[in-house]
Amino acid sequence: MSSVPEPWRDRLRPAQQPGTTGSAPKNHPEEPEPWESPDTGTTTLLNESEDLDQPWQVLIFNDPVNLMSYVTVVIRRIFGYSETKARKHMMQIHREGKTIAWTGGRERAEAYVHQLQSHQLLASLHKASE
Amino acid sequence: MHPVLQEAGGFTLENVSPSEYAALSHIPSDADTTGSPEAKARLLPPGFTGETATPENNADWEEFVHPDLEDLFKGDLAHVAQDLQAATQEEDEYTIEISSENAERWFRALNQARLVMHTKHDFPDDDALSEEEHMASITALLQSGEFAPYLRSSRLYAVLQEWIVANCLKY
Repeated sequence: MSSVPEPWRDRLRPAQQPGTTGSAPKNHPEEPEPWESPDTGTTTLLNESEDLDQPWQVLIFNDPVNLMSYVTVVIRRIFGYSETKARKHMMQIHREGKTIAWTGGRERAEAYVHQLQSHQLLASLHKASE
Repeated sequence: MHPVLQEAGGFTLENVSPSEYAALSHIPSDADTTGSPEAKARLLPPGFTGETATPENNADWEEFVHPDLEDLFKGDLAHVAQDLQAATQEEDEYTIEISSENAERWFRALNQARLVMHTKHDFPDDDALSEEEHMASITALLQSGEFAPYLRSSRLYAVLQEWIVANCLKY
């Protein structure tokens, strides 16, 4: 298991440390938008509320090496999506070159991108308005 | 080579031929990004795109995230090397034991190797070519001699990866 640098660990929820593999955070697809999630820690909730006006997007890009089956597993693991939803994102990556995997506060977006890169997927974040 | 899933969650590579063992032994060196900034950049990509990819954001990402990724990926290769060294040999076949903890490390190490080889040697992009173009490109690479071993290794690694995804990785 990887560790998270201190400055970043402080900005993450306890169950959301990037790079972990067995107990990834579950942001279930049926949940409301991330900033409304009832299980969000108080500190993070306050921080993320500052980002409400400008949500961030987590992008996953196509690459010729990562296996489609693996991309689906990683999306399910990191975002807690259903098999169907994860496959939909994977196919969008495959066909259109990228997908918006998640939208919400900056800190969680950073954590998700960190996790995706730990799984060697091409991922980045940017402001939703871009 | 015959992968066998173990009850504890790991797996055993049985009946590994000398040539397959030799190819697997090259995983760490195949994953080496030395001399290829492009390959290193693929393993350690920027965290931001668009207008948010500012020098400050990129510098923060390199400072706080990239060392973590580097440690993770180096650790994966080290564990794979240990498993390979611990392989047992009987007559002309090797047996390699991979624990459940190391199954995903093996996957990432194989992936690292494929990502680096693909970037370094400019392998054809399966998605961008038609079936005929792809086969022609593969044939040309195999006949060129220079990159043929890398291409064969990449294919072997991909097959093993598919098996690990199907049998060992949990979401």
